[in-house]
Amino acid sequence: MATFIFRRLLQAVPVVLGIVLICFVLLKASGDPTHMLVRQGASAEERLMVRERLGLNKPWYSQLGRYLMLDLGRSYRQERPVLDIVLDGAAVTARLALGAMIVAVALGLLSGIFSAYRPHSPIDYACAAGASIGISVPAFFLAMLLILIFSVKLQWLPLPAPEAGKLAYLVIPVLTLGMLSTALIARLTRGCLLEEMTQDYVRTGRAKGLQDLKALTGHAFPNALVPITTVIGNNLAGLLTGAVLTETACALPGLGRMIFEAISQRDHPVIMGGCLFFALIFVAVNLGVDILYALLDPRIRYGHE
Amino acid sequence: MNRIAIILVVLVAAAALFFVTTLGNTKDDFEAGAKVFRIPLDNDPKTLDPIKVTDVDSDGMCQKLYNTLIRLDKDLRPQPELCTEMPVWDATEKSFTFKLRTDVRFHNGRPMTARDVKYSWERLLDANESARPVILKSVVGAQELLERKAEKCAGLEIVDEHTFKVRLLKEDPIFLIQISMVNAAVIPEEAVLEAQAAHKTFSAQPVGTGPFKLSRWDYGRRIVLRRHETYFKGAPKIDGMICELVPEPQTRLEKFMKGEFHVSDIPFGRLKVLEQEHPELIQTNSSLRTNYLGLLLNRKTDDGTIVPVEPLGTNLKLRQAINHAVNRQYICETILEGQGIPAQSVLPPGLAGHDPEIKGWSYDVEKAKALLAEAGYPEGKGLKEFDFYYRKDPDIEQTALAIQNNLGAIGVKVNLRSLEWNAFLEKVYKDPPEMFFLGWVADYPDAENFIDWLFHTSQWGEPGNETRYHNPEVDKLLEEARTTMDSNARLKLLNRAEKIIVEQDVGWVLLYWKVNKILLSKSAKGVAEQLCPLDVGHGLNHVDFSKVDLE
Repeated sequence: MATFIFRRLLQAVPVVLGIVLICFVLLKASGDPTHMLVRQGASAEERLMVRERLGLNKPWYSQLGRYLMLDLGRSYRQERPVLDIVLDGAAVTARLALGAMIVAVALGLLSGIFSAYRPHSPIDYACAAGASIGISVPAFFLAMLLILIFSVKLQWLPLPAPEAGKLAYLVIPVLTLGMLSTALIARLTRGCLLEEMTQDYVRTGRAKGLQDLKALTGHAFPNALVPITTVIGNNLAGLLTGAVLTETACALPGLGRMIFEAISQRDHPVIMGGCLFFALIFVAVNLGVDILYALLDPRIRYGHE
Repeated sequence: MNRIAIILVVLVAAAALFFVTTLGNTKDDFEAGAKVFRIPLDNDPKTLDPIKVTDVDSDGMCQKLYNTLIRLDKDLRPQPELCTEMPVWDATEKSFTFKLRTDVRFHNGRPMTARDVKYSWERLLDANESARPVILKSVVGAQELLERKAEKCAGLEIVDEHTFKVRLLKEDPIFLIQISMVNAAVIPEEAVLEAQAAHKTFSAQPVGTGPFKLSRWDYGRRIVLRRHETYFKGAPKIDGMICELVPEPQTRLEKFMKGEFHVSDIPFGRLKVLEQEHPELIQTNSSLRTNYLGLLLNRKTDDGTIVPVEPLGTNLKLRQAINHAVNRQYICETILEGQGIPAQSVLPPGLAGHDPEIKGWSYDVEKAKALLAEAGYPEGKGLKEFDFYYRKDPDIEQTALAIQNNLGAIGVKVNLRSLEWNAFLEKVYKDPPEMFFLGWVADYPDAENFIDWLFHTSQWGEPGNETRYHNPEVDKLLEEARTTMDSNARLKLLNRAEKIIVEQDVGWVLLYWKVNKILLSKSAKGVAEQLCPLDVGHGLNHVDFSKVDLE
């Protein structure tokens, strides 16, 4: 296992460097960022001064070299180190992602198991309808709808404010973010369970008098967990990279909004830092999922092939 | 079963982690019952360091933290702020002498002296740090300091503790207006050094003389300001301000309606309804912004000679026809819901020098068609199609569509091309399209900032003359104005140039002057009467908050 983890970490190095390289090329291709940084009507000399201050007049290889050494420097727009900005956003996003994942896993697994227990029953259809809505409703619309219902009309929850540390302000964004993952997990769980239920071992068990529910939760469910874990992992990685629309609607300063603003303001170091961070998240989550596989499925072993 | 146990353990651990992180004790910034003015922000300000300010958001915050020697009053006339009286121009020595107030204290308690003014202004001339050294360009020795050929600026003299003299290279009629910009604010040197010693920027721990001091800046969340008890105009009546970041305009409006903010902007498309339901909450002020449809008039050949562009630059009748074809009234009333006035001149109303005599161009389709025929393109026959570039933004997009329709009605075919702001500016600067939508907001409220900046040949392209307007006669008038100290004579020169530009040369297709409309709570006292053309958006940038109270 240790060798496996070490090898995977080594593989991550070219991935991260590759992402830096691709980002760098794309950013350079997108034009000169200094127009956004000076006032409208600034002279060419003023812009040159800004270029010099930001190190943009250095040759491209020296600029790229700095990024490759993971020296992110300071934001062009805010007077703060990029690392501070990214970690600040990550703290908010991590909390949202965690909350959303808890909702999604709990609700998704439960509704998936119910649907599989009595397929084509009214409960199954209700779950299917709920999942379709969850997949198709845009996050921004859902967030605004929840705000309108719970904050404006019923006044059960406060109106959005940048309070990532208070539970009341997190309910709406967590539900909004969790909705899509809930739907995906529910549908996948149902599908996997139904497939497992047709396997020989389940049929044998039932022939020996095993109850449906017992067969489902005790025998089929553990075997269906591997594909479900993959989806949960991918979803978690997606959630950890932030959600622009939900964060904007709910006034939370997360990673999604941070990188969106950085892109619209051509804040290259922050974009670079964000992309790097996302790359690391994906590498880490994939590694975590692989380790979970081994725990969940004894047949999967890594290392000495 | 142990595999299900793993799932359960992971879930419960995650839930526990989630709840623990939301239990952190968040202390309130002010005691219950404190008078706190609440303003929504849509973005963090870029900086709270006055020499770096170039944008409206940062300006709004800095105006609350700092003071300048001169401040513009509601009618945009320079008034003494940190000095006791207006400085008098000494024509023989070419200097201004400022008598500083003796009762001004910084947030750190130290009294302000002439040394601080010299330090702050020399810092403004530090090419490495400053965003607007241009403010002091006419000061003796400024250029040398900017190019690091000198240590100090020779033209900034400390006469005594509270007397400060500025020597200029030549007559500069707008110097006093320029130093009213927040960039020229006075700050204490020790605060800059303290920030450096702590490996922080001055922006993160700013110290000024203003009515409020920074208490907390949580990036992406809020900025909390506290009252400056020893403020030289008397401690403000309110205890502090909380500026909270809410990026979604609908939410800002809801929060305002619920009383969580004292002021708010009006989301696009919501004005008409609000005007019917809550007319008492809406505040209107003109702003110093002129929006126009730019036509590319000239270009430079490789050897630098200026030649007019075919056909827009060469055909005056064509430009006149386009001007008569645009329905400005429709744009202002239907698209902007009244947040615009059809523009008749370059200088917006409210600005000294605005000349109501200049009548601009009326909407007259028949006249436009006739002029187009006279121009040699009856019903547009033989005329090329133009690419019309604009910034991607809902109200600009609607305006561009309306213009496309208007021009199509007389036979001028226009293709709409929208770009994101940075890409749009790059296009206009480097490879100018023949038609584009652009606006100009005054950096400082002076006619020169419009007429000279946008039409003098030396401002070609990027610095402001985006239509590449070129008329030697206008250049001469503008150059004469640059050194005319008598303000009436100077404005006359600028008006003469403006008249030539608008009426004779048809340099721009003027569209509208922007009108600023915001929502203001009834409980905020002393704000509405202070609003002036320098207030853009809902940041209440130019409101003196030492005079504001809450009920």
